[in-house]
Amino acid sequence: MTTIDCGLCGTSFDPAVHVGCASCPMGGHCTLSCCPNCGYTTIDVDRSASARFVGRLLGAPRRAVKKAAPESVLAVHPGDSAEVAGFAPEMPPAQVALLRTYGVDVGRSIKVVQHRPMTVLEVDQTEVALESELASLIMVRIPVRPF
Amino acid sequence: MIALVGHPNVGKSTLFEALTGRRVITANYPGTTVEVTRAGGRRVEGTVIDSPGLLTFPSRTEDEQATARIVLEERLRAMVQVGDAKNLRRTLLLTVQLAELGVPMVLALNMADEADQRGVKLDIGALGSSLGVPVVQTAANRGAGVSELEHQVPLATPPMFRVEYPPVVEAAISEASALLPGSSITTRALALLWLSGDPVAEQWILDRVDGADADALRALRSAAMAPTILSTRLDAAELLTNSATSDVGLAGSGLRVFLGRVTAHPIGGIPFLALALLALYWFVGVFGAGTMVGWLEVDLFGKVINPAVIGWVEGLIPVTWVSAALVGQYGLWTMGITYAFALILPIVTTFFIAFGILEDSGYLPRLAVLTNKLFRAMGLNGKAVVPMVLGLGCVTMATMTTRILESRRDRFLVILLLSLGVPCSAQLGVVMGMLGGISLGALAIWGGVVFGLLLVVGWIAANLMPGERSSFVTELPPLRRPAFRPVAVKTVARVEWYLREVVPLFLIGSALLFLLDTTGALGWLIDFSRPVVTGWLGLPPEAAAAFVMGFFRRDFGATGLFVIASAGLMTAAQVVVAMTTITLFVPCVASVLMIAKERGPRVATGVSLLVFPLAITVGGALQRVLALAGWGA
Repeated sequence: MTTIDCGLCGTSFDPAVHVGCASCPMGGHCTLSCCPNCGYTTIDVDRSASARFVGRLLGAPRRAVKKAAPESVLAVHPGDSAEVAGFAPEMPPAQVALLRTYGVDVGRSIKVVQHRPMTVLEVDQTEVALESELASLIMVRIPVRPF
Repeated sequence: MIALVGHPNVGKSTLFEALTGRRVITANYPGTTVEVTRAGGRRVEGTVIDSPGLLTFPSRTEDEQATARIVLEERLRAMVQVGDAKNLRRTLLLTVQLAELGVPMVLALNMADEADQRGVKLDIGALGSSLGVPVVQTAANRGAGVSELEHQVPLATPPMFRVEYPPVVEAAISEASALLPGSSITTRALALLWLSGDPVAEQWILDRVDGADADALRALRSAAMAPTILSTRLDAAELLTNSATSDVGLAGSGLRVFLGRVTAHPIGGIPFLALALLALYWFVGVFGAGTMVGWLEVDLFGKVINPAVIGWVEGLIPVTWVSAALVGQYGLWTMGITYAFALILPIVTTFFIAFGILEDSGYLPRLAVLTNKLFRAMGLNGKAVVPMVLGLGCVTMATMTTRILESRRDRFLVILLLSLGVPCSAQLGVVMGMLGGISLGALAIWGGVVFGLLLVVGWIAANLMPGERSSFVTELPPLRRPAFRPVAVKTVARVEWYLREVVPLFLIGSALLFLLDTTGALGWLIDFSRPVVTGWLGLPPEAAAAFVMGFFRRDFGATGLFVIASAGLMTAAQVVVAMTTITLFVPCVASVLMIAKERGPRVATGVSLLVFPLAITVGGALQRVLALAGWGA
């Protein structure tokens, strides 16, 4: 889960849960999110393909935001980085140990190179390829980008 | 004894070669060394051991366990840890574990040139002081730093570095130490191997302690122990890394990294794969099997050497059957030597060159990523692509490489599929050369049938066999431009291996065929197999002799079929059916012996009994399909 901060009152919230305003008929397809605390509308950059494109084109600095709630590494777009938050309990201990040995460890920054046909992660000077089932069990915090 | 220990694919075998002068086949992917190699040091005193790659303790796979056994059971005078200079943190994670063993050691940070290119700045003086061992930077592929390493090995001292674990682990180490038997490593290291659940150390200890002590030792272990030990070691490695690096460098960039990414990309990787296959087809199928075989077989052997040898032998030996045994239809020279040197040698040499380039480029692990889904369809762990691709080099060696697979189920499945449908380089070269001479369509039919059968058999076997597939995690080494010398040296080594292995087999096969022919048994065999060879497979009766040769080696049989086809005795459809059938035979006598050695005679017998009837069945079915389609009649 990624959180954004309300531009008015600073409340952190999940934009996926608070899409659009409850009374707006366009709410379901809107890229705005309403703050659950004050109702102020904030743009959710990740829901807008054109905003993402322009943001990348301009090389906008990534929002060094606060720590978002952990989500699977599969949610990280190829080319983006994230911080490893932990491993899902379903991951076998031997695989956890293997990934930690490769450098995929809690608190470390990883960069996602690709997700298909296998997820490839870049950590330090190493590229590690792993199957999506396993990648889905790596929990990360994704820095939210500013707009 | 001096052991070279380190992660997979960091250049241990290259350093081993530099220190001993003994050649070991190396490649740019993990898992090339699965056997322990020993040789007398040429440039250092004593025996040097090249060990399979070890990522960390506890050892997980059979090849890692071989290294754990060296550490535990050999009386090592010194240990050289070979590490990747650009991945210092991971290298040092293993260093802190090896340091606990109490064996004098030297740390060789290899691939220093790549680290330098990426801007990694190392302070090896500070690192050496922290660890209390000599640290040397090497670039073994260029020979850089090897002299310094030779100089430092005699000066190796037991490391001073010691990791302090949390009190709960330290208490367990103390209690375990009182119960453990003496060994060639420190009791503390042995206790840590036990507590972290290393299977080799566990077995070694249980063989040497009584039941009460074993129970007491078991009581010291808990589920949280191994992760705690790993965390502490990771922290220690991190601290050491931070103290020894002034700049961790940038991840690679530029054309090489771009190509590395594109070749593993689901869409971008396909054109590269097609390009690689096309280049392989042209180089091996057209140039090797066409042009070079033409020069050697037709021009050199056919017009110069063989007429001279035949004339000389027939003039020198008046006994007809003796001269026939040497230069007759199934003569040792005219069949055994001519097949080996004039027909197969040019094909396998071109294939070995191409395969060496692919190996050293680092493309094969990317191929594993690209084809992972296909192997999944066969119920296989993606890591299985390593022995499957290695099988294209030599199925016998690939059978041994199944040790890198973590479950018995995966190992059996890969051995079955290797035996069934993965042709080794020589066989692939011969088949590509012969079918390529007909058309690309013939090659596509052969490839489609063999690959389709691998998918079907793999899927059925995976569903019949108990156990779950294990997940695939692999490191992608950087894409490198293959250097001329290693590829040339490797090709020569492989050609030498090939000739040593196949020439005696070809001679035995020729002698057997000569005996069968002389005694009339060949005619009986052809008559006996007529219902299968001519009836079911739709081939000329002479093909029966080629199939007998195919029992020795598939390529030997394929060459026999090639000669029949060259004489105009087979149609295009018959050539495709014959090649498909013989490709599905068990690869060679050596591979059956290797399966028996690795997995026991029952597995070897079972695989053989399954593969031969299946090959004949599929060949016959293909013959009917091609006849119905009216292809190649």
